[in-house]
Amino acid sequence: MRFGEAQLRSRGRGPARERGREVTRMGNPTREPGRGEIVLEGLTKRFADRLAVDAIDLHVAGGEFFSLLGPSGCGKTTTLRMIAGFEEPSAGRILLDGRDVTYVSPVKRDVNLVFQSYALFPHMTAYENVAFGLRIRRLPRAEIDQRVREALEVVRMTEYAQQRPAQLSGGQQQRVAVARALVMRPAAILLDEPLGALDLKLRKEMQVELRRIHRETGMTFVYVTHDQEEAMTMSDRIAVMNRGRIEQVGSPRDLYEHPATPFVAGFVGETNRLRLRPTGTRGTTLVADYGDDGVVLVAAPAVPGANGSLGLLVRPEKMSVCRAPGEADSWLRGTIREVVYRGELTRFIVDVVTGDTVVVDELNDGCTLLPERGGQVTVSWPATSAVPAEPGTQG
Amino acid sequence: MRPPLEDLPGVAALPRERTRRPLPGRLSRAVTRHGGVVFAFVFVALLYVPLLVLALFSFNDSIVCSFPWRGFTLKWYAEALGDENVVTAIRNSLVVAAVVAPLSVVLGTLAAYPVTRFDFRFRGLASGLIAAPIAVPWEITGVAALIYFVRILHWTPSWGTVILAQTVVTVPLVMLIMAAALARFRKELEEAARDLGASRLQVFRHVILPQVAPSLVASGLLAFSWSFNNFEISFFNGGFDLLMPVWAYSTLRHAVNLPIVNAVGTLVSAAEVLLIACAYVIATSRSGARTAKEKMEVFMGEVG
Amino acid sequence: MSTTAEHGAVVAAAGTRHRSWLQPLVYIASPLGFMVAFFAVPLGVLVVTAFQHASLYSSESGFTLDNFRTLVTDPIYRDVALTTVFIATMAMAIQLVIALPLSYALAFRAGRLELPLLLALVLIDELNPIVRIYSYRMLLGREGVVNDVLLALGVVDRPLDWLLFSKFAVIVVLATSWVNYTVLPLYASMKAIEPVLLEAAQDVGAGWLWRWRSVILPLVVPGLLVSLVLVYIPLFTDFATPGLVGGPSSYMLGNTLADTMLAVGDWGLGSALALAMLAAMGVLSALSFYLTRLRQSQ
Repeated sequence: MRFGEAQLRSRGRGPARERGREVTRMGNPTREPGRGEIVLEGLTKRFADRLAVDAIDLHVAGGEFFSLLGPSGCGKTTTLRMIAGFEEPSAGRILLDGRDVTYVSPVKRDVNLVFQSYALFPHMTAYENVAFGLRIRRLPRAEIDQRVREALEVVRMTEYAQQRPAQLSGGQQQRVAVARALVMRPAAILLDEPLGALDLKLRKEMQVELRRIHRETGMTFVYVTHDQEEAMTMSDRIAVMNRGRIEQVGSPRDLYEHPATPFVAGFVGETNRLRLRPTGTRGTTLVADYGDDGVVLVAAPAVPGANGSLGLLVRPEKMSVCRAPGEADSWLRGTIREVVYRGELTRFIVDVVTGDTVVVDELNDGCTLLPERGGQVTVSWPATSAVPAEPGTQG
Repeated sequence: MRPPLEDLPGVAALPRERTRRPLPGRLSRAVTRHGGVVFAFVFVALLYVPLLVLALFSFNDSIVCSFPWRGFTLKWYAEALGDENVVTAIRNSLVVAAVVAPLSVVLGTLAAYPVTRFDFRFRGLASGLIAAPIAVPWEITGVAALIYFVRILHWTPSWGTVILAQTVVTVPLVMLIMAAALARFRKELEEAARDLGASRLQVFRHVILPQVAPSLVASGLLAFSWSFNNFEISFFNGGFDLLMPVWAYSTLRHAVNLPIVNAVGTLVSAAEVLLIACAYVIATSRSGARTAKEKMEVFMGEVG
Repeated sequence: MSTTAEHGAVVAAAGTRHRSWLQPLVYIASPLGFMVAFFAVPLGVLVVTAFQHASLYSSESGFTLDNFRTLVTDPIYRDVALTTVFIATMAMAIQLVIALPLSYALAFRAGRLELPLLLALVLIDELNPIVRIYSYRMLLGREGVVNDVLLALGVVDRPLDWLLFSKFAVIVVLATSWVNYTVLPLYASMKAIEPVLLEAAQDVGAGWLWRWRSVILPLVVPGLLVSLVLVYIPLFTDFATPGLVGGPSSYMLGNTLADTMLAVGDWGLGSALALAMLAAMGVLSALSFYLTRLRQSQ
């Protein structure tokens, strides 16, 4: 069911269109583009025993699908709850569409939260759960009915309107929880790892559904997850968090192609980790020379650890076993341990001379001759594609 | 090091100040957050105030149990312990409780075991009958027992009849507690023992009993303190044998306040507090901190 | 529990099928016999005596309805019954007003104080009721602590008479003596509500009134009703409280029964009264049972 303009006009929403505003948003003609902008300023949360969120700054544009991504304990859920109003910041500000809502009670904030455990009211039907917030606003019954039906349609739960949560499966409950938030037409919808309790297939389906709902409604979505694949699939932009701080903010492509910190490089996407012994420098470039067995150039500034070793991160698809290494490439000799054919690419698992085992993804039309198991190969990659693993002098 | 805030129009212009919640909001938030606990604390404290006042006046050197304070004295305690009626009453109550407790634990457990372990035709009826006294007000149970003892059995009411009448009420309490304990008990242990050749009695003695011992002790203590404290049944069935609550009631019917009753009351309450405290400490130290919740469940089993 | 019992039946049956009814009988015989002998039979005797002219000193056998006739016709019984209903209902209402915020606070807001407060509540129920009732005399009397405080603060210039030996005293003492019967089950049902539900309600704009009306109350009221019905029974039949802190205006049915049995000695009349009270309380028990079944079927 799409909210095309024809349908909206037939529901009497024509005049809104004449006002020249976007109307493909749950039939709400008053949502202005750009609404739902969230700014976090120096937001900090201190608990009795730890610093959960350390002075983060963030800007979420209106209508974005924005994810907070990070491992457990990185502060993403705490940040989300502060935006929702369930945690009071120790310092900093939260601005919603320019208004300072830092100390505004969640009852009055124009954001709605989809809880990880769904939190549906067990004694109410799906319909009543969704209608609850509208009843509080004392909207006329006809309007409530229409909006609830719309919301349930968007999440495809119309036939289950009269069921109680106990009669619904996890995925169905999740949808009702989303509808309950959607129907309020908030400036932003916050989702706290909503798909965590679902099985894989259902999760994939729901990811597609949520993306569709986001497109159809145009609301700002702030999504918390620890699953980087999920974040990459669904988001316009992602903030990678670690230990209460934001490591990097950017589109999925930015994060993947240009990780700003070793943590991001290691957390987002697959990465190989090499342990090197730098033997010298060539200008500003660190060099690890293995003689006939290889030369590794470290293009980015890096400082070896106390024992003289240096970690290096390289993505599997940046490496190759078929190309001849050039001047600007690093290369290492190795033995192929395993070959996995995966349709559009072949994955080689190679034991290289440094003692590490790396994964190399090679497009099948990139090699004239595919090496086999046990074969001796040269693994090469452009020096600029690698990122040092140790905390270096990077910004 | 943090990545820089994305350069978007308007953001750079915002002042980076540390804000605090405005004062009226802070006050109302404090009230919302803590108001409930304060109320709860005050109420529970108020529940204890009468008893504390009682204890206070038991040390007051004044025949009138009220202010002003006329000096600290222990003479009321001396008088209480020297009063033959008091000593007899307390002793009788202790003896009665000491008989009622084990008697009801035995009977209650004997009732709980088959109800939780077997499915026999009259199970519902039997357990219903044994649990029935809970639904009958104690006064009425006492009255019925009195009529029965005197008219039918031609017994004189004495501590013996009190024991019997009180046990009628404590057995269902014990049965409920023990039924819950036995139901929680893991059947596999029992079956394993039987598989190894133990008779049912041996299984009971060596496998079940040690496991449900805490509940046994708890229900025993419950029966003991209930019996000692009981008024309604003792009132009707005690006859000329004094029991502590009956003594207190009769004495107080004829006088406004008597410090000797304060003294006795304080002594008895202090002893009971100590008893419950010991029971709690024993129960929680045995099985770790979690048992605090379990003990609460046992107590609450008594209520509901 | 039925699966345990079924399992037990299987275990028992596996061994000795034809003796499966004997085994439990062995165990249950003594408690059952005891209860029959000292509970069921006495109740039966009570019922019979209610229809006889009987007293402490003599008795005649022979069916009569005189006792019940007296109960129904003599206005004293009606008056006392009304007083009892009034006092018990007031006490129950006070308990309700106290129990709701108290249980809420204990369940959601008490933090580290939750366990100590609960223990304090449970502890006070283990102390001697006569002592507890009596202790209120020291607070409520003309020379009691409350009056002293009120005089000292200048709120009144003469001590208040009606604090003690009045309906007020009986209501207050009854309410506080039996408060656990209401608070503890209510606390348990509130604990069963996940706090995240209250957050979800806040999230869609529910202030405290809405949260109470739409989330908390619907989930706790069924159990609360059962508790209130059940607590009414001891409130109604208590006679120690009116005996110690009540006055002539707060004479309750329990006192009447005690006097009829022991002072007057008319056991026939006493039995009839006891039976009437039992019947009334039986209705309440049945009501609570019915309410519980209703809850479970939802």
